[in-house]
Amino acid sequence: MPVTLTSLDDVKFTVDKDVAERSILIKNMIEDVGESDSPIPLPNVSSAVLKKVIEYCEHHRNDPVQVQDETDDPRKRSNDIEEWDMKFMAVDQEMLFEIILAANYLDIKPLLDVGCKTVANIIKGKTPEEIRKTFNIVNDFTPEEEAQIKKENEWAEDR
Amino acid sequence: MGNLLTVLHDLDLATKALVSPPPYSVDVVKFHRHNPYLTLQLPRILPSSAASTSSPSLQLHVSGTARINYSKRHHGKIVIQLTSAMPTPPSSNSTSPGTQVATHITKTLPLEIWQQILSHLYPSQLARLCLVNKRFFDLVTNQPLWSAMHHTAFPKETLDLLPGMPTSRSYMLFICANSFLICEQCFVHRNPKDLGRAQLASLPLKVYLPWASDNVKLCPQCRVEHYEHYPEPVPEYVRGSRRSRCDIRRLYNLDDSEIRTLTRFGGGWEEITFAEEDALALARQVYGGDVGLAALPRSLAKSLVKSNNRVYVYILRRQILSSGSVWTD
Repeated sequence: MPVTLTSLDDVKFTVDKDVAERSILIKNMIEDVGESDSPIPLPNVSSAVLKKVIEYCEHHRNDPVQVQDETDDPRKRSNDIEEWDMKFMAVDQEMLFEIILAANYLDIKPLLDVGCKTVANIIKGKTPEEIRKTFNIVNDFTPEEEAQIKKENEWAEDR
Repeated sequence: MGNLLTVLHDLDLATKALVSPPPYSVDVVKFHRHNPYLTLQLPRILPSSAASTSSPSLQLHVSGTARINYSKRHHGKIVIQLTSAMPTPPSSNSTSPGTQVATHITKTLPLEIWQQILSHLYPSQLARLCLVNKRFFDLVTNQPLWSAMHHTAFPKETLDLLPGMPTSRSYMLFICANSFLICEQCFVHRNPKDLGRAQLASLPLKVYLPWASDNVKLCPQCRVEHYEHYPEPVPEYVRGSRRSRCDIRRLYNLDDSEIRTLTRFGGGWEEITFAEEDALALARQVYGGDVGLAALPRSLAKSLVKSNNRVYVYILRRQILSSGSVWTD
């Protein structure tokens, strides 16, 4: 039984129910409303982003439900991203952030998780200046403030 | 500045209020179309001139395609809704179209998502991240990590918080002051009074963690655990090499009871020697890898003094602030 989704800009996407139900939000909506032909409006997601999200859900349609191990260290898991997901996430920054927002809104935990890891991996191993360049961030500290913060928050060196 | 909109950066606004009279105006470059609401936190402490008038003035400059739909004020906040039209980036800034989005990446994602992103980073990475800009400083400072670390590092102590400062900021300052002695992986704090013969080697030392793309400071136990999964290579010159007891003691700082466990050769007329490969493996266990072994001859004194000083500065700062004086570093 296919499901029709309508994006913010009124584009309709027809997908299989098991694909759409990767989104917990949609799954709950379908459960609440019951079988229906009427399209499901997603006023928070543009068609460009929804297309990407559907691509992800289609690829992962048969994944078993993820059981989050609470004892798992998120710092150690941060680079275990499947190769397909890595390629999927190789998009420009704006799209990356839009996908994360959509995953959050649609409640697709594994996609949100991959998105967050991707951003964390961009940040890792970079100096503050490199991070500013990467994200086009303006340094809004005065030199004095910066020196002060550097001094107070420095992680001790062992020499 | 003639930008499409507005005021913002709640943080800026709050701090500006303390130093300058109204009107306050800060530029906001883009709003997410998913979230056309802007919330402005009015400065908590308004200068007396503003307090006397019923409404402290906030100037909103609007241009481009964005329109203010409505604004309302309650509980010290002003909520503004913009029409769905997407503001265009100001033409004065002639860089790539993506620039304006990027300048506000920290605004485009909600706090709980940043929380999740930053949970993938180690304390030293977060401490570095807070230098990027004020927003990141705020995000990092508000991480629940700092108080959690304090809880593990100093399980029996409650922290004397710095007055007039967010709680998490105190925790972060105190943890950073103690960072010389805290493992970034297990958060255990090593008391410098009981370091034993290993001295510097028993403190957290930098280890490159591939998933962190960084050097992270790990205690000997966490180093050993790490090297179980990522074994250090055995150098060619060590393979098959035999060393005297004296050499083993000198090179690997192992004691007699430890040396006794090594594979032994000779005896009788021959000099007794031990397998160097065994000695290396054992010393790596005892001192937490090659980085621990390399730290053995180094002196601890200077770093320890510096570390103690930082903790002392925190305590001093607290005393000065709680006595009502101003802290100048």
